Amino acid sequence: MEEKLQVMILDDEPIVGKRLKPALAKHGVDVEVFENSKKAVDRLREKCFDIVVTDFRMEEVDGIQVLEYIMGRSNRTKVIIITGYATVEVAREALVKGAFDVIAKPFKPDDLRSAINKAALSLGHDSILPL
Amino acid sequence: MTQVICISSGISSKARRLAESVAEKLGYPRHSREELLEAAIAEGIQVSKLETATIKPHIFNERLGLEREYYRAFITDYLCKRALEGGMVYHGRSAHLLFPGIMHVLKVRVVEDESTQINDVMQQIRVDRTKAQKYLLEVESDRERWVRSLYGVSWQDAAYYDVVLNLGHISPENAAAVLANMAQLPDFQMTPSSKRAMENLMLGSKARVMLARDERTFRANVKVRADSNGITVTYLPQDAGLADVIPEVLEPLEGEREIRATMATTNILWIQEVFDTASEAFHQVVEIATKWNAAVELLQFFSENGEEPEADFEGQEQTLNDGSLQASFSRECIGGIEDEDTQTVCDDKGLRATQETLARLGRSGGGRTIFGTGEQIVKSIDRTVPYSLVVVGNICVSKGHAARLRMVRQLQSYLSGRIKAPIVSAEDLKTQYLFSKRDILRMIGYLGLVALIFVLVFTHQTWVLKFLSGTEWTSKVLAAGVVFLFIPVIAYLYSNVTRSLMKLIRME
Repeated sequence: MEEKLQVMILDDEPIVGKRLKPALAKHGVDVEVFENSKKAVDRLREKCFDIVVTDFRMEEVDGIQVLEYIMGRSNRTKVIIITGYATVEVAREALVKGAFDVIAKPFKPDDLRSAINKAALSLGHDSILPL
Repeated sequence: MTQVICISSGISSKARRLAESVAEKLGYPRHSREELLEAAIAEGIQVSKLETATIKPHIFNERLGLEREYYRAFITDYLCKRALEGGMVYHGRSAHLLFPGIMHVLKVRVVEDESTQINDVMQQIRVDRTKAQKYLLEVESDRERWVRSLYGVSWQDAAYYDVVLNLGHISPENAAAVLANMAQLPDFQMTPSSKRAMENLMLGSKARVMLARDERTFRANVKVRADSNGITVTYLPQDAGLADVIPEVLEPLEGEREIRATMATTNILWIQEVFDTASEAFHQVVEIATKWNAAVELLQFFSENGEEPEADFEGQEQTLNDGSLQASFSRECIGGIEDEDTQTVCDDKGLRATQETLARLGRSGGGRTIFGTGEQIVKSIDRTVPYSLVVVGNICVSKGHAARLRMVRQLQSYLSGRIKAPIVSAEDLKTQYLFSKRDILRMIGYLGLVALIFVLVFTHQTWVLKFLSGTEWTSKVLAAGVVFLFIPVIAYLYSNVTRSLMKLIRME
């Protein structure tokens, strides 16, 4: 049996993880939620996630730094940036640095699920969405 | 003296220094795009989604179309307020377009050579040259799309600037001295007339912001204009119910100007079963709507005689604006995540996609679905709506070509006696309302014949006069007969020329 998709959600607003975790878990995805980007980076040192969903604007380590850290280690992990402060410059910077997608807030859980599904398929996983 | 200097640039660290230096020289505050974005986000405008839609156009929908209007009005109000307080310097992406029609604004474009820009990008975002080059190219094309989407013009068009400065050849400090001196010219001084124009612009924008903030009107697609006579709000027929609400929302402005809410006078009703944004009919309808500055209202019609629609549609009228789109219009979201869609997705045969494409083009007049007969269509139409054109497209698509054609003709004939607007089929749209190659040939042909007749008449005046002034009884009858036939012929030829000409100059 194929291993479950490993997803990290990083957002300094607790409500984001609280809402997104069940929305993804119900599709058989293993989700770890972080609110502190430093702790998230520590966890990234220990575990290789398939997909990291990270906020852009955070205290201490921002989303672009998290992206740079991940891309510096392995470009297998797909990074999806979620942000309420995206400008075309920010979005293009993230994409040029290897982000898989940039999703502007507010978004529907379906928008994120669809992006995660695309990332999962590109990694050779099965679709997480019902056919 | 009060001056407003707007500096528009791409990625350029020197442009920022230039703006700071000009502001310092003139003693004005400097405002920037970053400041505007922060203010708009604090206002609750979905700037992030608008910006991302530039990169991913497929996410643009009717809601974002309204958000774009809200954003534009908000930043115009924000900047007008500051410009009227005593001058300012603004630096940003589309700075030169922020004060449309205000004559005293000095509009500056700053350019730099590509290698300097690439070096700037490499430093700013810490990437190698190849990535910096890619980033620069993509951001430039995004910027072009953004400006076109917001203001409908090209960012590159030099006609919208007063001066272009190449900071590759002149230092920001020297360029600032040039601009500070240029700003002293009489052309860039606020006059009573340009001040009034800016106050009007601000008032119109303020009114639009108030309508976007109010729960009762934020979904309405309205245009607001303020002039010395008052504030005019134009709304689409689908929002006719807001006629009384609009003055209430704008009541705080009532002391300043009279408030008038009027329904848009030009609307196209497009009746069809299956909508497709790639179809020729779609492009033709959009072309006409653009020429007439009209909104296109979609009416998806499932004829009783055609294929049965999905159960969701049966026996009722569904309004896309008030129904299925309503969920996506909700402003409630927690942590930047909206609620899950609870409704099931059904095949709406292109209605929503077409409406959203029209919204993206600024031409959406709403959409709804009707199942039944022509009578149901007539009953569903608001009699107060002044339609300029009704287009009947494909209906009963499951039937054969001849049957479809018959149904379209029957519906056309039924509606023509009941709706006070020209009713045309999608197939006739092009021949009746759009200028084609065939029209060019026709116009040239008829024009040639008219010219030939004129030349013949005026080069043979003596003969013509002799023929017309014959004294014999038979000559008189002959002359009368020739004139009797000649006048309608020339009138026919001439009317064809003018009809084609009117079509060409878009006056039909």
